[in-house]
Amino acid sequence: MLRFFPNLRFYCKSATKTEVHLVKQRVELNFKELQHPTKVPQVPVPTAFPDTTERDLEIDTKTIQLLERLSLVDLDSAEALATLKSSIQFADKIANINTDNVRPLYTVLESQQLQLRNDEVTEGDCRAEVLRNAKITDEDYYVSPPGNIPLEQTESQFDKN
Amino acid sequence: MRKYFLAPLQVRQLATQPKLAVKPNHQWKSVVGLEVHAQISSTSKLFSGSGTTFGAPLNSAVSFFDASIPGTLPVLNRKCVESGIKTALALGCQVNEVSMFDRKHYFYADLPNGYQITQQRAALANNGKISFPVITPGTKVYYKSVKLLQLQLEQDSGKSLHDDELKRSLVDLNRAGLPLMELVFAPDLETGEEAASLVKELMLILRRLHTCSCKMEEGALRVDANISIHKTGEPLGVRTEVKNIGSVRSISQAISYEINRQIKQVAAGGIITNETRSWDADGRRTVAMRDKEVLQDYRFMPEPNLPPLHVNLKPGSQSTEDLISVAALSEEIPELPEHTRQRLVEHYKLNSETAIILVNEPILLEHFLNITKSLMDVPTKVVTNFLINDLLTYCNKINVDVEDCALSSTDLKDVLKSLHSEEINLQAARQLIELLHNNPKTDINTLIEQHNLQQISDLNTIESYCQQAINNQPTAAQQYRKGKTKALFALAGEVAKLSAQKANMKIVVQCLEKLLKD
Amino acid sequence: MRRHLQLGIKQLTASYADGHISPRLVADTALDDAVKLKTLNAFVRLTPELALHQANESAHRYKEGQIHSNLDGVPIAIKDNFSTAGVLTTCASRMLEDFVPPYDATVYARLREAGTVLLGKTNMDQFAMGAGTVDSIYGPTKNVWSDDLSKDNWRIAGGSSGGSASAVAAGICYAAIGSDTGGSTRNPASYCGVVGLKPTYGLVSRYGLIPLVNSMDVPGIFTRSIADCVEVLNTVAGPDVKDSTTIRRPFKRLQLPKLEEIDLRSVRIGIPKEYHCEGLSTEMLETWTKVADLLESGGATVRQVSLPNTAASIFVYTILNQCEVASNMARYDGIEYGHRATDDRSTEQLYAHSRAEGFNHVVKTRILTGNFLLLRKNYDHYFEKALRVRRLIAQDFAKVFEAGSVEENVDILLTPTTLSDAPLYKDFAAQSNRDQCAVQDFCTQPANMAGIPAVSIPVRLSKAGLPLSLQLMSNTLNEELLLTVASWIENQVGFDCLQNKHVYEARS
Repeated sequence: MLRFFPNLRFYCKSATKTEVHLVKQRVELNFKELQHPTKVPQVPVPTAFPDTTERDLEIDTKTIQLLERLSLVDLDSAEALATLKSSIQFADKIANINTDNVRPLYTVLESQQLQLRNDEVTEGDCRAEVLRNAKITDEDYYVSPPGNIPLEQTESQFDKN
Repeated sequence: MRKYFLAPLQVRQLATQPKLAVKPNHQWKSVVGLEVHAQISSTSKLFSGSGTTFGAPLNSAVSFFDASIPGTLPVLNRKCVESGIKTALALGCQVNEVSMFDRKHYFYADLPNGYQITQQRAALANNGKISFPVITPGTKVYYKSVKLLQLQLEQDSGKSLHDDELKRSLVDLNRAGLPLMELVFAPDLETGEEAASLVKELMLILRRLHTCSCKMEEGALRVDANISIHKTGEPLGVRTEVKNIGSVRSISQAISYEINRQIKQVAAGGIITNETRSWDADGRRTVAMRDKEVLQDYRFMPEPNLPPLHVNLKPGSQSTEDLISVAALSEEIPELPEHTRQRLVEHYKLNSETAIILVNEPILLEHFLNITKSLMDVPTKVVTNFLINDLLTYCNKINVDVEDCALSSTDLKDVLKSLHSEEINLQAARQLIELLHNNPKTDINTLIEQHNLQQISDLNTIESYCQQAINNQPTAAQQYRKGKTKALFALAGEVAKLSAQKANMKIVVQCLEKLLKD
Repeated sequence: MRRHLQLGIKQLTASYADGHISPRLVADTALDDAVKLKTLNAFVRLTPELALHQANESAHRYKEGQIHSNLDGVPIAIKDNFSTAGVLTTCASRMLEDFVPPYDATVYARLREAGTVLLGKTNMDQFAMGAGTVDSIYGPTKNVWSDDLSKDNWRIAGGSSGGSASAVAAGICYAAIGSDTGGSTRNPASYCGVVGLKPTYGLVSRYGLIPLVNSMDVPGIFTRSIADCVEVLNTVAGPDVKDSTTIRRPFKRLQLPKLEEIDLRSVRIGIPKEYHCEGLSTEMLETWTKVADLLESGGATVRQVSLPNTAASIFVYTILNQCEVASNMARYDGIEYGHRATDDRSTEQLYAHSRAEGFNHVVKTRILTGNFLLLRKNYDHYFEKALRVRRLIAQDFAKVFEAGSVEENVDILLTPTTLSDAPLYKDFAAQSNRDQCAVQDFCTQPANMAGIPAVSIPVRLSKAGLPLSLQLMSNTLNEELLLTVASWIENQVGFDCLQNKHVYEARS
């Protein structure tokens, strides 16, 4: 018996009538007229999140440089810093929510068995297709510049891996 | 009864150069931890259906997923999980009921996704142990036990060839996505020999399980070593990582070198930096690989396209299409090397050194088991001596792997049979080995005939040789008569010379004794 | 006039079968319309040869009486982040401007095999990062309901699947595929006045959908009616061996009850109070209130419920989005495919320039932030924390759907989709991308957190003549009840998706 969603019921509700009724003749709806006391809240529900704009964040240059190397998007450093600060302030809003004893939800499919594939060759042997979108190739190889020379350096020293 | 003595152990693969062996040094302690990447023997890759054959044409075993084409997704290969579990069980690990996959991010031309799928937070198995004999020339064999911290499944990267002339790298992705098991051992080792012994034992285990070919020359098994030194009583020193170790022999060489290098450096007042070094096999030294000033952060993140992997830990369960049973897999694990050693000692009454050698050389073990099955009356010691002292030595002499030797178990059995029946003597037996290797599938009797290898056992002939020997060596004869029993060997040696090594030494000795008594 | 546009899919294919119309004519008309309504910029490229070929094949099949499915001969459009073999798939980004995938996304493959006719690929925000379909290298998509399409007074179509929504709203095709990560299908559906379905996570395969957030992305469906939506869903849903995040059980085709057979007395509707947030327009509130009332009059039990962690959702979404983006975009280095700069000095130089030239500002900043949040020192505090709060949000839904007693639980949640009708482009563009999303996605992305199905249905026109839509949400795999209630509402409100002047003007 496969386990999928042990904590969910399978819905089989279909909301059908046993007798057949004719479809009512449609009239123009009056959106201001209600027949029941409404369950829809008529005023906004306040949300309380800490104001994180006050917190002045310090992000050192080393971290900025590291991020630039990890991201490789060539953003201006000042701009990067501004972006980060704003994003961190935004992200900090949830810091105070109580999550004691709450496990992270990595995937909504956490209780499903991970699918397993049979060990057989079913793919590959499609070199032309695989290379087709590469701008530069050479005799069936992809081509890339020499090794990992850090961004800061201007002189090339080939990395002998 | 003829005596067969065991020559000093010369197990080829574990020999190191004496000058690199670490001398016992009370002041310094070395700490070594190994990380082993073993490529799983499977038909297709870990997360895609492309093939795994070594040496396939460039970029031909590459699926859209392997090439990181956008929109493609990983699908896990069952065989790889089973291999990982079997390996974990054989190494005494706890297989985890739930394990997860993570992305490890870094940029490199041979890593098309910009990340590797591995298992960091929740690996397939943890807390195992490997116990193995350590063989160092000049030292008694001892057993060492090293903890296996983690066994995880992960993808291999592609290969890049560096074209210095045109200042570029050429990338082949055939290897990208091949299934690897990473085994992280605790830093319980101390020397290069111990490390090499660990890897040798690991290779024996993996080969028996058929989960890895262990061909280091094909990159199917890669070993990296973390090495540090410290003064006895002080905390652990800064460690370096040594990569690019291409053979079992290099393991002990590289580690021994690095330990010595670190000791020398610190003794001279220098410090050790946390860096990666590469083993230069030609120059027999480690060299700094890259500048570690630049920090790295792999930003591990759960692989969202692979929900957690569940396995069935219930004892007595069976595997289904979706759910692998660990109990069912444990039934499939064959006898492990240590059990074989114990069985050789207990059942076959071999000593432990001999048992170690036989298990280390699976082909010798196979010969031994085949021979003893058909030659019940030959003492096991005779068989092992022959295999080790004679067959193995010959192979070493002509620089051939014993696996590649042309002699079959039947050949060896026939030789031993003749030897045991005293049809031939040991010298002749050794000659037969050479002859059979160079003339495979020849009938042994034919060879004995052709090369006149029969032992001389005729009493009269022997008596005449003996008499001649006594005449040639009057001093020795006199000394024997005076009571120096050792002098008999000189006379026996003379008979051997006279008879072109063909006299039956047992009878010779008896005959000499009789003649000298008169 | 194009009478056939008034038909639903079932009636269209019935007309094909009867011989009243030909798939070829419908395809020709559709391509014609696409050109006439070019100003909307719904399509980034048309595939006329392919479409006519497919239409001819379909016509042939009808003649032989050997049709492939209920969708045979129906013109459709696909968002440009779904792989279509041999057809450019760009994600509206310079990075993939020249990218021609060697394979079909499963969703498209299933539609193709069902006999649909692909008109072309539709516009989107670059890499699906946006809520307006304004951040595209092909320019923005305009809302067909805009008062004035020619000057700067046009309304946004919503995003990030604005092109697909537009194509359906303008009557160019009968159905379109989009994607939904935080509301990218429901949002433009709401603004363009069409049906937009976000199925349960895992019900429809993501193989071939170039990902934004793998743990939340789903393919989305645009149609002009619920019945049409069901036809499309029945064709594309079901497990896929190529996608390990599909739900592994056989898919049972949905069959909605006939309208006259729908009995709402067993249906419990929940109104989550937190969805009345700051910025909800008066007209939207009125719409919401009225439809809740209608349902109650129809016999349903309507009660107010609480989903306390709703407001946290946008922060959680932003964190997870940025982190996944940083990871998913790591593959764009110009080596195997995609834009490649000319700087060849080193791998890092090449990567940096290719990516700088290939990505727009929104993408770059998300990558940078995402990497920051994933740094080892930050991981627990942001990423793991966000995932914990994500579970709280999912638990909120679970609690109202099933945790309590029959009196406490509900089957369907009714909320607004967007906070108002479609904003003017100039107002929208004044905000940052992040703030745009924060406001627009408020009501939509909690459903992505929990993986539950949600649908946006148009209800009426606002005073400005723009569609006002509402959202229904239900428990995992409960699409049948969800769409049943949606169809009931659809019938009650009688919204005509094609009643806007531009659609008529373009064709006369």
